Amino acid sequence: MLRCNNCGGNYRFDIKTQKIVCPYCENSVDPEEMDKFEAKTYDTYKYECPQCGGSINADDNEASVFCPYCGLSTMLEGKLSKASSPDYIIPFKKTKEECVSAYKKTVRKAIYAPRRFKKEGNSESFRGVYIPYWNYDVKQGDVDLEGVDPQIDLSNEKTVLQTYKMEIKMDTEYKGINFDASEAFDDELSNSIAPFNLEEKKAFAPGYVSGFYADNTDVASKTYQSRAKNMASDYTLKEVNKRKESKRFKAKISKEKNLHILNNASVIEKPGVGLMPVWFMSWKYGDRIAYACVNGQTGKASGKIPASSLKYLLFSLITAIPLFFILNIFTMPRPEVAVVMSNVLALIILLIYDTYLHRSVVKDEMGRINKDKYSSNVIIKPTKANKNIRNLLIIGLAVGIPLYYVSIYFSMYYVAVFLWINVAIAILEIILTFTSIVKDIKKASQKRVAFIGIIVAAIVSSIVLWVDPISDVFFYLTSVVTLVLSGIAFLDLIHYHNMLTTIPMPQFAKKGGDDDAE
Amino acid sequence: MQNRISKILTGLIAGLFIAAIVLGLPFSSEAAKVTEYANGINEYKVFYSDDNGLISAKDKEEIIEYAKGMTENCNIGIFVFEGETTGFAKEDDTVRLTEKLYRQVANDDNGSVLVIDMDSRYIEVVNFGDNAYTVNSYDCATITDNIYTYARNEQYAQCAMKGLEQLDTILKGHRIPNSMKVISNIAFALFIALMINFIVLIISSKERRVSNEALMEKVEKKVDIKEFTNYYAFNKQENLKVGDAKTFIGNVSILAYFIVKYFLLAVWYTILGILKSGGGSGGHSGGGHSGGGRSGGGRSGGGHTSHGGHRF
Repeated sequence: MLRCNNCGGNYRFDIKTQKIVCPYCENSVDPEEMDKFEAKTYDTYKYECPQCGGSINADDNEASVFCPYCGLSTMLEGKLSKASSPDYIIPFKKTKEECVSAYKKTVRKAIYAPRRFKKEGNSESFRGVYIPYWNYDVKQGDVDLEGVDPQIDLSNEKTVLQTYKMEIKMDTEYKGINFDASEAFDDELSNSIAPFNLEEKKAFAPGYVSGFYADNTDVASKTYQSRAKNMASDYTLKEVNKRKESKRFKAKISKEKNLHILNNASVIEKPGVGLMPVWFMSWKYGDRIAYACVNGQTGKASGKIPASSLKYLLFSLITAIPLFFILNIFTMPRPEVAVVMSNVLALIILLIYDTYLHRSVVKDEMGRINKDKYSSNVIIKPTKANKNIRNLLIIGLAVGIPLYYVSIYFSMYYVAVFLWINVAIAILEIILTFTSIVKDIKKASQKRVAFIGIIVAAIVSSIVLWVDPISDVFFYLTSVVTLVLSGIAFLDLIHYHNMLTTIPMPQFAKKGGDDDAE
Repeated sequence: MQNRISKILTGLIAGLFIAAIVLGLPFSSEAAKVTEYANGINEYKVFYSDDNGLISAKDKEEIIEYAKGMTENCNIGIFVFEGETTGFAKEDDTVRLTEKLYRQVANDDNGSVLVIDMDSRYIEVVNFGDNAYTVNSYDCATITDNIYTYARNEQYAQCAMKGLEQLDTILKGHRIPNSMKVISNIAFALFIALMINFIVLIISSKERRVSNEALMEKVEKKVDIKEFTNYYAFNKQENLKVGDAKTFIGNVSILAYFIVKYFLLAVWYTILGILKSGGGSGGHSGGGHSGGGRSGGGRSGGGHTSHGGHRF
């Protein structure tokens, strides 16, 4: 930690003046005018969170420490330690007040956010943390790319496939492709506040981190190398495609193959590490954590804020009032139509239910895997089995609904048509449940069962249509019950949405060796 | 191939049309006895028919007196008959018989008829002339929804009286109660509101992923592509003769044309049905198409009608 020459107080980096300032005697020093800092390490105090095991550096030996990973705020004693000096640092440019203002703008859009999330966005909640980023410089030399040009010869009724090979001599270099090197900093969050402007980077001096926390590098540099190469190759390919030679000979460049060729021709020299400024806020949400962060250089804010079920229900009640009047004016469903329509809506909800459940389960599974072991560019997509089921359902609806209307037009046997459609819906729902939903429920941390109500309602509706009682009460009652049970499923959807916006409480095992740079 | 497919499709559709017409026609249409009662004020009348004697003489007098009070601008009919229905379209048979009976005595004058068909077990309200606009199919269905329980309990006089009262309310421009549908609409409104709010939640909480292009903007780049020094064709490949590619595309196009055409027709009639009758038709409680279509209009050779009924 840096001591003031005047009074011995701890220097703090002042964002507004971009100088190191003593808070006691206001003595200020330009960090770049200090003795040139060339050490590979610098002194710091390392704090380990007793709740989650995460470690963070600060320049005080005893402080009210806030753990950015799990949100614990406690008094701890730090251990004197040596932290690796990064190659560069981007100092904080946005003050805490500007950060809070940016956060509040983001939260304003979140109309369903619990009240405490909106209240908690004040200057006390945010902490300035320097996050380490891996920095890749990618070079590419001469390559041979391929192009495919299919030509259809109608007169001779044949297709001719021409493949071209282009020898390209080039010299390309990309400097500063960066990704966060912190295990704890979620990749989606770091992407949402990107990019940082590396033109404002400075040579590292310990004075810049005074008064802030600094995270440790605990992700291997090889984790993002392929991604860095992909980004560089993609850009190079776009530049090649712009060239008139590509167009003149009408070569359609095969993207996948050529990216592979370019990746193989890419070279990354030793990656460097830089510290990027991030204003960080975390808060507990049950046994999970929600994060918000603001780019300390550009002021770009991001936060995944869970939704309050109560607020959601309240807004829904308010929205339902004008909808009811509109429905009353334009339509009053007939008994059997009401039953079938309510089951069609329930089926749509079940499809959405399946998607959200699957995504939340996959996200939690991936959250438990070390970053080094998976590609950090993964986008959660439905599995192949889910996609097939979903396609089947979409086709079933696309064919079944017009078929229903066509059969009414031809005055076919009405109740049988309604019964047939409802039975088809019930069967589709049962298939979806047992091929997809049940599997995901077993893996989910909380077992929610609202989807069972939807299936039971579909079966009961089919029985009512089969029996075809004269009294309308049975039909309307069935329809209302189906809608109510499907409505309850929305609460489960809110729960899964909140699972996607938060992560499980992190638990960091002690690791050795990863903090060392290569 | 192309001709064969189009012939098969044409034959299939023609067959369905013919089947619908044939199966829909009643085989017998012996007219019931209709008695006219003048109201003594204008040319409009009350038409009454109850060959089966389901309504007692005393109740009949009450009903007719009440009906006379409704004849300021239109005829009123109360028909209780045993029709002969065939096949699937029982409600349509009741409506056709009613139209035939009414037009025998009143041509296409403004009028509303309450029908109890003991054969098809349907009660119907059928409207003619201007009444068809005043009392639409949805209103007819609502009236019969509210009174069918009387018919089910063999309280035919009360059924007819209640029906006339509700018909009178609508003819005077007021609304009649339909509590079950209101409850159903509350449930639908709540559900749709939950859906809308969920969509709003998803959209408002969606984080835009920063694209690689945006990330690369801040990267220091040096891209120096020199001339393409060489290119040559290799690996030339010829596909097999595609032969009937054009005719295959033609066949698919024709099939697609028929599918799209009838789908659009079905959607169009659905929209018409929703706007005019407030929902689907058929089943044990039905609303009809107003004007043209399956009842009235073209086939029956009459003016504008509306109808709606309920099984009992």
